[in-house]
Amino acid sequence: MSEEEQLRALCERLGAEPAQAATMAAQLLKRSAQLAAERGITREAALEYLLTLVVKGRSGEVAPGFNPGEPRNS
Amino acid sequence: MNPENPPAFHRWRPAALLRVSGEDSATFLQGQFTNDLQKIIPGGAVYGLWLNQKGKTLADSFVVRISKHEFRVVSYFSAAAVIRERLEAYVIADDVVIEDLTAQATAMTVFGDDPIPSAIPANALTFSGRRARTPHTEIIFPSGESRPHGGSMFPNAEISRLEMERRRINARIPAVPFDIGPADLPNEGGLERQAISFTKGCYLGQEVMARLKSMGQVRRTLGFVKGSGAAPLAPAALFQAGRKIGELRSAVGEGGNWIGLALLSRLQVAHGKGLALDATGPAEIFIGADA
Repeated sequence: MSEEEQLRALCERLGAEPAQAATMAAQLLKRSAQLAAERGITREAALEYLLTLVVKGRSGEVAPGFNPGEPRNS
Repeated sequence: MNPENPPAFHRWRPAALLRVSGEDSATFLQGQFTNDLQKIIPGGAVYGLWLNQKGKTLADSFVVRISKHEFRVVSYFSAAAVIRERLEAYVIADDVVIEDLTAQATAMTVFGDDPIPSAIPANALTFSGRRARTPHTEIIFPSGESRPHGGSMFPNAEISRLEMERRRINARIPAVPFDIGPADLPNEGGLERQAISFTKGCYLGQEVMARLKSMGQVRRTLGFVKGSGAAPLAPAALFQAGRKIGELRSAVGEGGNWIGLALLSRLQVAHGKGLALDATGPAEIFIGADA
């Protein structure tokens, strides 16, 4: 089973329709490559970060370290 | 020529010009921006805010629709890095690409009855601005033309940065993030009137905005203030009867005096009494009628 197929299966298990799961899997791979280049981390680390956001977000939780846009002077 | 709005122009550089593209760009931006993007057609623009989950104002911008899957994000004062970081944090499984075009961009604000000259480059963006009471048009040149060919079609009177600041402050228009910023709610600056759609559905910060609209009232409000002499440096604390009651956020000289915008505590401020720049200083700053 390829990486993309595994991601697709994960997204389906989280409740996505098959077509949507396929789109999400492709975008997760694409975004992980972007993040790896932007942040100087491995693609695996970037993918792990994104999957944590997806899984935590699915259950209504905020992933550790995810606090974009926190007020800096309040 | 309309004497209330004589032809004039002002050159400036956008603090942000981002290109947002991809299959999911429209739905992605709609879920992040405070105003409704579904109604804008290619070439159209709408002003709005980028909030955090607590409803605080991280940045503002115009969003210009280029095509079905491509947009530009343009801001007068909010930095490209702030908007980009805010957006990219939420790109997870969406087909969205964000590129920063700010370094090359220049812009021009044009006042007058016929503010859109015909000789602007094809890739320029044009939309109605919001930095003065009189109607004006913003022209954004993505690749850096500051004055296109056919310059005679442009007005000759150039307006300085300070005059633009006077026009903005006299019009009580907050500059984001200086007057209303990451520690402030949009409603404290009256931004909900033009920058927020209460019918568009979900976006980041929407719950706070809906709660404020239905049952809340903000504790502070951005008001017009004026004083004599040279304009003080902003930001600066403001006091009344020895007690800190707000902060001067913007100030600019006007005819030997100065005008400004200040964020003031609604509960603590006494209208009709002066404000001071320190706890024991003279109360020589006065609040305008709408503060």
